Amino acid sequence: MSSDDTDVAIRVRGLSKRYLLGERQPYRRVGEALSRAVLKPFRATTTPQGRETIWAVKDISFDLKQGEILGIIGRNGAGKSTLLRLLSKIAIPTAGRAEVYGRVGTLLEVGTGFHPELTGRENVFLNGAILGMTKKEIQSKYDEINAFAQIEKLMETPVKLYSSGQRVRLAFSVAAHLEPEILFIDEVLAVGDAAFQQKCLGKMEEVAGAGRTVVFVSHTMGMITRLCTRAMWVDGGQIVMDGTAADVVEAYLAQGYSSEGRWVHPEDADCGKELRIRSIELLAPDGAPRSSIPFNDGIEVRMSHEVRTPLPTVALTINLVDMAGNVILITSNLDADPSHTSWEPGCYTHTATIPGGLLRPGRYLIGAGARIPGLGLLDDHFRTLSFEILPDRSSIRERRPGLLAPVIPWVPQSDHD
Amino acid sequence: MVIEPRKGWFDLELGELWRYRELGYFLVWRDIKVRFKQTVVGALWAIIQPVVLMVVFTFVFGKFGGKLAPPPGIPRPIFYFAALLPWSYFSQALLNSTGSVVGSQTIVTRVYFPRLILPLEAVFPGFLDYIMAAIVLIVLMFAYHVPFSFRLLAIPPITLIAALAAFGAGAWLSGSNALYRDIREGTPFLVQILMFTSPVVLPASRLPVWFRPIYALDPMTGVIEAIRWAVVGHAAFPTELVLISLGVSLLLVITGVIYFRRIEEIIVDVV
Repeated sequence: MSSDDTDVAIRVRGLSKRYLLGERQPYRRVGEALSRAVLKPFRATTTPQGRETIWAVKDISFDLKQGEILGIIGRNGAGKSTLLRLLSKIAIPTAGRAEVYGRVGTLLEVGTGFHPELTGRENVFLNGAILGMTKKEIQSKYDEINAFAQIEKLMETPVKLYSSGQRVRLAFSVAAHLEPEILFIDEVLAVGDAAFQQKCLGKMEEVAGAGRTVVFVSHTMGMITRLCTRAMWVDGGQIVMDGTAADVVEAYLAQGYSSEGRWVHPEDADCGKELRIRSIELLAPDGAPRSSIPFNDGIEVRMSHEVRTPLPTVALTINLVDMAGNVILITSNLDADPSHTSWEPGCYTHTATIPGGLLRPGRYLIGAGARIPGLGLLDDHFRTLSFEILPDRSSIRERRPGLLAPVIPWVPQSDHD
Repeated sequence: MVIEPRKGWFDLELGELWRYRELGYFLVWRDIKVRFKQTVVGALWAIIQPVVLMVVFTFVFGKFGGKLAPPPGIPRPIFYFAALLPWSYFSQALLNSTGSVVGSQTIVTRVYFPRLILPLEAVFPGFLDYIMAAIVLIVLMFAYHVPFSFRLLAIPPITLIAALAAFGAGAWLSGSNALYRDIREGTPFLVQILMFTSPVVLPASRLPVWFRPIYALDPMTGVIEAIRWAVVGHAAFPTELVLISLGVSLLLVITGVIYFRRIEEIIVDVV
């Protein structure tokens, strides 16, 4: 391996990871497998015979220079997280090689190793040690961590009594003070309240500005274009595209979305056990799907879903994203009717109309999701349909900069009274 | 740092284990703290179990044991407690070690560290209980007028054999436990059986001479016999038993570490 250029932080050559699909079953019974349990590890683990395998990461090679901030994007199951797990040494590759130069910090989920019975202070030390800090380092940064989290009063209280927001604050504060030379992050910023997220983003930018190398996996394209100098689009465990963040994000967002104004859930998809979103449509006034919408027309979105088991409160959402990955808006059925608290099995259809004259002309993506608030996702089709807002020559608003172009009332007042 | 597939059986990276020792200290510290926070009687649990077992054994085997009764001249509570002291430690350390990888799955799947720290770390918190139980032993020795001798100095090194055995078996079982959860169901049962087949109840002196070396294949045989010797000194030091038990413990550690490293890759993907 040549080491001519000394500013390389990560060098990856042919890195691959194969999972045995049988192996992914959580655990088996001893009766079936006692002898294998004992014997198997002593056989070659790399030659699975007659078993289905999947290459989560296949033959990935790239160099990352010091100070580069690489965003990895791709749909769920594309291999992004596996790649990050390989680079941070959590998972062991099946083939290939990666060289990582410098101290590594990993943030795959904040609060890793938090113990509910321990106090905030004790958890700072424990979590810091798990993330790779020495006791001395944690001691010297304790006050900073404490101040960043803004929960000084709770530091001697067991973490089990914290709100989830307070836990996240504390956890991120520890992580933010890790100060590694190379930082791996997997979507941790999607937590906490907006103000705290801003703070975290600021900290990320500070890390980036300090010339440290960052590898960042995210579904939030806006964050990738904002933070990353370079992006890599991964699909099927392989690199589809590698380039500047803006180019890759644009290419990624432009592909594969239905542009007929109608999306129907493919029958073979196995997601959405309890609830499945069946279709998302953009409707013209005559009820037919359309993907080009005049500037002043309302955007009528029709969403159908099937409830398969009785469910409590479900938040159905429709989200609107621009081609740079900025989330323009998310609307939920619970916004107007928070009292809707139970769902019987069956099929349901809702229509939501986003007012016309609001979005600037251009391409947008719309998607839908369903979750049980506080518990988790039931089904998610973020960025599913692509549509276009048509320019309207008579309006000057569409030509101004800005994400939105709504008409806002100006009320004149007389100065002469 | 180089990331590549594991090569061979003896790619054990033990140096790395040493570099991560501070994390090990923190995990031990966590285990001790958590235990004392969660339980109402806290520290007392460390001594309740061996004391209750001692009372039961003294009564059941001491009075009605017939052939199983302890040799005459040794106070029965002392006879049993001297054995229960290392036994309680061993059973607790083994169970902790077995559950260690599954119990730490959130860390295992999200941060890198040598996973071998987990079954290793798990045998340390029990030393605190051991010390507390040892204080009870001292009190009992006063109460039954058992003289203190320099033999007692043999207890710490002998206990180390129990720790080795617990770690070796823990390395085997904790890794397997991540793959086959039956291990977790089976281990407590195994530990229970082992207590009744160990010299806690059945001292080696009651067995035919030819069978004693086989008996010592259970590493706790040598440990228990040696600690009884250290406390009461009723016979010669059981050199043969201790050496066999030490050998078995070391073998468990070596094979356990190799086994653990071999399946580590699968553990991380599966746990």
